[in-house]
Amino acid sequence: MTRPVDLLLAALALALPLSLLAGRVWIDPTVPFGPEASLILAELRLPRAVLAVLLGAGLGASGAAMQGYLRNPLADPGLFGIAPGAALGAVLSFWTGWASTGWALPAFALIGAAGAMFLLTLIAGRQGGVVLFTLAGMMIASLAGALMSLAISLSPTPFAMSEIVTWLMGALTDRSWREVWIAAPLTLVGIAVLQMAGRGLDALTLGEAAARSLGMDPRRLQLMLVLGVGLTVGGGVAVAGIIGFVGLMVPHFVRPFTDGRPSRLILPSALAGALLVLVADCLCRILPLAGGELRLGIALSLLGAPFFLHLLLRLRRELV
Amino acid sequence: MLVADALVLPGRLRGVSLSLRAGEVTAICGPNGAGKSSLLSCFAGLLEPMSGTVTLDGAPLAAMHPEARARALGYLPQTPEVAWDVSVQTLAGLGRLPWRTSAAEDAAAVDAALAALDLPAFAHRPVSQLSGGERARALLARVLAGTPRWLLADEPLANLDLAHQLALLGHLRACAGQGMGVVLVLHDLALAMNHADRVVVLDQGTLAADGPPEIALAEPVLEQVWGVSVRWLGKPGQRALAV
Repeated sequence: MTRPVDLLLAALALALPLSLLAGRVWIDPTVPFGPEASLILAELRLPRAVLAVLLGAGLGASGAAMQGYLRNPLADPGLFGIAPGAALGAVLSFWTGWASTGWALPAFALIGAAGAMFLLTLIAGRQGGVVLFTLAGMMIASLAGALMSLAISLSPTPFAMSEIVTWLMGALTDRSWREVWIAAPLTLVGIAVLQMAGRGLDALTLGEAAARSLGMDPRRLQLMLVLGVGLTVGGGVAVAGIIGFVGLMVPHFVRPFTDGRPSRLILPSALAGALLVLVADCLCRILPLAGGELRLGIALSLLGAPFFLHLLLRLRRELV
Repeated sequence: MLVADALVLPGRLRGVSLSLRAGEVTAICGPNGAGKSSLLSCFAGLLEPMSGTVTLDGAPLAAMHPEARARALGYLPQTPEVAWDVSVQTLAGLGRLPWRTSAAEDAAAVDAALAALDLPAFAHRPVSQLSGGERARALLARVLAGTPRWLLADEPLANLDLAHQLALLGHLRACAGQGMGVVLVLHDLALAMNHADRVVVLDQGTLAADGPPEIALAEPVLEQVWGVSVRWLGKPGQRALAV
């Protein structure tokens, strides 16, 4: 367990400073930074890199926890409907025109995430069964998706529509320290909550009945998971839009290096997720693209969808 | 003592009272739908009866902290599942979850459980690479690693061939010999007849017979509860059923 964590920490410590140098303007570390370079580093690159680390860590940790909870390697944090809920909140802030005023966008997104979390716990009821819970999450995701489409189709101005669509693609372009201060506490508390849920997730490895016989409280575990995923994913969507597939992919890279227990997967997945998003965002920045920058959400989906297919094919082979 | 008092569970149990003794192998038998698994789940504290209580040494299970209950009662479900491909050692370690003890204590308990089930050679083998019999032993090792005072197992012998059934029964017998209360739901009446100290027969949610196997599984009981006319052959302890 310590080995993957140590390796990932070392890789992050190496990738983070290097990522600061790359971009439209390359910064040469061998010459002293001028005022322009210092400004780019301190106000553009550094907050963006920190945000990439936070976002990736949150997605990686919640993906690992979700896969543990659903006992399914194909689970993704998006399944709970929290990300679509947060996105719906953000879309409404564009729709009402409040998005341009200061904190309204992240606040709306967090209210959307909280609303999805509340609905989820309300529908799932007192017993804490996993199947009902997952179906509830999928329904909330579809509902939020439908309402988002409705909002887009009824958008007051073409400008608002294009803003919504662009934002939904997910990116870290032009983010500042303000977004870091929003995402950091939510993500860190969320990861801590997920790590605390680790024991319950380990017990669930044996199925729900055996887990309860080991003292796991299904209702409490469910609440911890909703809270942990809600904080990390809700906070992430609030500052960066929807970034898919990180939570699905990262636990797979990490799992072979652990003993297989879900609790041992959460922290390494957070670090690996941070590394993946940091590197992906860096590549988005330096890839020469005619229309500007490749959107991070699109880049990760382009990477993630074939990976998902590869997983499906492998699972199919194992089932045969 | 693990005592059920007038358990009622709509559609499944209709007022079952029963007290189980430690150091014995008790088999719960009955036709499909008789309420065997429901009764075992009530004893394990996993199902809350609509009325009636289960008490462990006088304390109601429902009032116990889930982890305290888990330390006393080990439960092996009917279709044991292992979601992730962990090693046998890690699997057995999951049985330590309710204890919150030091890593050294956990490792000692896991080693003891693996040794009791002849599994030390398999400690590092992934569960996916075990045969059916090895897997059944590994799952039992998970329960024993929790050093419970009671072992409640729902059809632990299903899907095992005869040799592995006998081997596992031998291990369960050894547990009872060390003072553990062993309670098994069994479908195979010959195994119950030959290997249990006591047999409890359920029929449509009520207690139809309870006692030593020769009495609880006597031919008239089989006729009345299972609706089949059969005869026991052989001597006590080596019985076989003839249709």
